[in-house]
Amino acid sequence: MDSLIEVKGLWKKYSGNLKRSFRYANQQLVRGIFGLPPPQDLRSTEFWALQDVNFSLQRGEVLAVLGHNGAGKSTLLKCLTGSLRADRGSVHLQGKVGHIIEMSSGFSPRMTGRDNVLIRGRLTGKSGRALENYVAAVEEFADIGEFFESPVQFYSSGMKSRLGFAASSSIEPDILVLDEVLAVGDLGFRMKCYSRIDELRKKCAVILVSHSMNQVSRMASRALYLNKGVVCFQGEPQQAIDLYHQGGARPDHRSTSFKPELIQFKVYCEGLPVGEPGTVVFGAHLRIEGTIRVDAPLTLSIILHQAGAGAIVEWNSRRSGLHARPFSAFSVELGPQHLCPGNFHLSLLGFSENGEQVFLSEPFHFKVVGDYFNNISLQPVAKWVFE
Amino acid sequence: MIAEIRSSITAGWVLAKRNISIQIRDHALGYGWVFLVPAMYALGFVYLKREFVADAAASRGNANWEVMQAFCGIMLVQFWLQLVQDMADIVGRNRALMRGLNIGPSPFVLSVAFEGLLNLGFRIVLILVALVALGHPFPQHPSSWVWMGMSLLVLQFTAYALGLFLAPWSALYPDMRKALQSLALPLMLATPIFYAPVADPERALHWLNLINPLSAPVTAMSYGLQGIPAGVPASSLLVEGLLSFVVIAWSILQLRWQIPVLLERIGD
Repeated sequence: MDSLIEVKGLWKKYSGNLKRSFRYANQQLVRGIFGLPPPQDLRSTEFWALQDVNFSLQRGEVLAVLGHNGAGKSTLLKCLTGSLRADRGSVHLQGKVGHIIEMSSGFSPRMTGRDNVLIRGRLTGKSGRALENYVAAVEEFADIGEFFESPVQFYSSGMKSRLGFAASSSIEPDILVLDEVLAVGDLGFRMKCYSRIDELRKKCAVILVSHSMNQVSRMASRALYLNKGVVCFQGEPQQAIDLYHQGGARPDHRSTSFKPELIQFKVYCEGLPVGEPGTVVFGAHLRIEGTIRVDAPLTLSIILHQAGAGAIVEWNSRRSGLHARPFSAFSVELGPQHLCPGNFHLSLLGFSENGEQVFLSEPFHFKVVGDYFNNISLQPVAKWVFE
Repeated sequence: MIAEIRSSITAGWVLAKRNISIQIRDHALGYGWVFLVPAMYALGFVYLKREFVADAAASRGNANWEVMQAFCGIMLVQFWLQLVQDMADIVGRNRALMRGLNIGPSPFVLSVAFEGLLNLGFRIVLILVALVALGHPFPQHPSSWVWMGMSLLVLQFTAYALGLFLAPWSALYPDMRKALQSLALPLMLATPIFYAPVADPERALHWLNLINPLSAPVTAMSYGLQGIPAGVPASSLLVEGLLSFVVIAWSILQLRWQIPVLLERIGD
């Protein structure tokens, strides 16, 4: 089967300095006038945003591009859609391209949603009945009611996202390029988008950038993990998600603690102390033991964070009607932890009786290992009965 | 190829209508400013010029014609400068659309051309009204009309060529717009608007007229309006037109690779 997207040896560089960037653009423009290629090597203040990216995508495939901020995901997508010019390598696209790289890019804020969609339709070569059908399809999918007849400047970001997605996906593209567009909008609309992408993927190739591992695990047939412009992995989405989580779990050297010397603790897994960063098997029992060096009674709170998802669970001593005594030792039995395989950290907070924060411990990082099914944080084991 | 040209023309027309519609929504007087600016200019100028030249030219019996020549010249220089600015601004003005839709530079160039034609239409109407108001007959000889049409075509071509050549730098540096605005008066003085073209090669003004892309079309228009086709600088007009056409085609080809380079640098 022929590839709809063929990317070979793609390199892209940026300059971190605006003045120099303009100077380099000038040089490139002047060289271009004389038919000379742009300089291939890095100049002062320049860095590679993408390095030797290679992949191809066929009809029916959904490729997710994963990576942390600054990894080069959006740059890659812009190179694909022609908004940016690669410094080396080639991009071959076959067929119509629909893309949403920047929300509502190309929509005039002064014009109504309908007028903008009409113009977009005409610019993509539609007329007569085909244009009418296109506008009707966008209106129906965007589902923004009477706002369709209002100027786009009055839209919320969610509405712009709806209109942008509807306008780009309703042209029945051969290649659909999506950059973080599904991060905005309510759950109902996101479900609609998933369903539209499922529909489209049968007829086209989809490439999407997302920080939502749920979206990736749900939609992607393949994934590519980028780190500082380099493709570190290309293949099964779940492996790419693991890599993404590992990348995100690097301990943050910026200290977020507050008077951490007032609390000392250790984490035990199945009765054995866990080193840091530690490894915990899915479903294992966790216990925390420690000492508090505060001369007043306080409430103890344990917060569990998932990398990339924020706080997901809190255990609070007040829920059990208990307070920690001054200068006391403590032990907390957390029980079996059915956490999604990935990276987590625990933090302990102490609050005085009037609710003031007394301390925040250093985070304790650990990794949960086990079979990966999807990216829902808590995955308790239920008693199932199938008849 | 033909299908591509047709779709570019359609897209250019759609963009021109979009731009006009945005201008109408953005201004309380809508698109009327395209008509009002030259009209106000014309009224003020005709009044002043008549007052100033009445005494001096009454003895020569051509006071009205000097007014007409200057009015027509100013209209065309204003139009030309506006067209250069609009064309030079195509990347900056359409950057969101260029990022959102991959349709190449041709529709954007054509949209400026369509808007320019509309703008030119208003100015032609004003020139013809002024011709009647100042008591001049319409040119009788058909070749006068042909040369006038030709001069307007070359006028547009030179504006497109210069604007497109400057477009990449105009996108990077807003100074370009200010530089073009500051050229308005020197350009008017270097164009045979208030005087007849200088034929004496000993004089610097002759060479200034020669390198000024506006001289030949404005002179041709002036002779055409007077009904003296023999005075039209035909060869200059043709050479300028051909040269501009080549620069336009080359610039559009260049823009295909220049636009991504520029979009990378210019912000939202």
